Amino acid sequence: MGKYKIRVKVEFVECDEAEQKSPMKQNDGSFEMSIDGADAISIDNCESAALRTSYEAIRDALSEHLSEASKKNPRKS
Amino acid sequence: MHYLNICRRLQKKTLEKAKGQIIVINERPYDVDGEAGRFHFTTHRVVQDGKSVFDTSKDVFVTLRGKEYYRTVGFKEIAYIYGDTNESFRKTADLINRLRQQQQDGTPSRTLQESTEREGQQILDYVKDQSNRILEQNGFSEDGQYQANSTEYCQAEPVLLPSADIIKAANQCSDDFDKAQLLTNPVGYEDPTTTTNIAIDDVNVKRQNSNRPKEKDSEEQKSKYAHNTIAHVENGKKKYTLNGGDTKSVLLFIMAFCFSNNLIGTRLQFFTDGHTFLNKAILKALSWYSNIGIILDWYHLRKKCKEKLSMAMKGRVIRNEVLEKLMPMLWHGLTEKAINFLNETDTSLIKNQTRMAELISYLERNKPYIPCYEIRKKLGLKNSSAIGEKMNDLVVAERQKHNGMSWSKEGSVALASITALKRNNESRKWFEEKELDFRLVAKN
Repeated sequence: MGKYKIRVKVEFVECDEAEQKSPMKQNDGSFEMSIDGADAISIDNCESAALRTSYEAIRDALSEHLSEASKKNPRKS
Repeated sequence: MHYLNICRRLQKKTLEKAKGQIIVINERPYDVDGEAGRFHFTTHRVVQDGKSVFDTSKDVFVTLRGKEYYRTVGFKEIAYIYGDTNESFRKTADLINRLRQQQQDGTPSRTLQESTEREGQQILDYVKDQSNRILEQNGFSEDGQYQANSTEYCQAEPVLLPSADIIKAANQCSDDFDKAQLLTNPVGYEDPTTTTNIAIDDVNVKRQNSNRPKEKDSEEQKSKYAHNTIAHVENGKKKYTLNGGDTKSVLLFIMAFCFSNNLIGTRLQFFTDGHTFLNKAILKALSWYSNIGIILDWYHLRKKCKEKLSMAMKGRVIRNEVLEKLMPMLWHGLTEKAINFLNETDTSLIKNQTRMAELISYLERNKPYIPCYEIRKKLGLKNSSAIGEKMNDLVVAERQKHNGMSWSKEGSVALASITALKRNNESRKWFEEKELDFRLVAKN
């Protein structure tokens, strides 16, 4: 099995979208959650939102990767 | 929004000049200890004519002093609520740094301890201020003396159960004792529907001197324990836990809490361990209110009898024989009979007369607070502050006792304050708003 590298980039991007209660998976596999302006300048709320979104993305990435790895390396019976 | 405009400009990471203003990068980074780990960010200030007119490190974010870190709500929940109120500071620091993948530059255990103690002290200060404010609004002086002229409180008649119910309950008791005698017990039987039960007790933990004593036999060194007072207030199914470093201040918290929760008007039924100082302090603090009662907690009465008789009698077998006869008398509230029984005990069976005298003196002192526990049980009334005792374990003993650790007075009380915050489901509100509801809660 080949080598892998892990790529993560967490960004805070200004947008005009409505506030979301939970992270949503995008078509490209990334996760996004919109927060409102007041939350964007609150250290507590920024941290909480970033962690929620990141953990969602980490779990999803691990799940996808290990499923793929499993498919590529079926255990010989 | 002014903040957002500033933040948008700052995002460009450039120093702009606008209408004679310049944006300057603050030298000291803003330090954050968060659930995500420790990190730092740059803050900026707007300078006009050489003067700072807007500083994000003060005007947008919470002002930090010295080398202080801003601790996020997430950090406090993990480090205090799930962490060091259950486990040692060292173990908690190791755990949070491991969870945050920051074992190298994470939070030192000593820093965690200091920040926890500071947070606990802030809670105590808040409760004290809040209590003073509530008491002042209700006509009390700063030291808790009732100064208003209202006779409403001191004339409030104790709300007791009808005598027919009490006689009926007495008739259901065993025939081992004269039922008429049981009914002569002076302790009243409160109506549980209009009663607030308050269990109050002291918990002492091993004390560590905060400073090295200058003289070997200084008073400071003689003090072996750090003192905590814990009170558990219960009305119906709702409860609240209060704590403090001394009995007097906790009694003030209780009074303020009762006003704040409309419990003044109900009977305030205290359960204590029979400590004279505590009983006197309760009666003194609530001398303005007539609808109160003190009951010697059955758990503590039994414990005291066992302890004293173990030291007084010659051997376990004799002690158990005496206990077997003594406890039913006390359970039925026959304190005088119990005292006579102890006085008449064969002196050849006693190895330590002083201990026996201490037990007799304890019973004499607490006679007004020893009810007929059997009748109370039949009436469905509380006899023991089991929940209060459990709360002592949960709030102080479980974390601070029996583990070889010793505590400073301030550290012990501050940590207990955070544990009480957790028990009262007030942590989220406190961490986010630095305020408490100070209200009875359904689950505690």
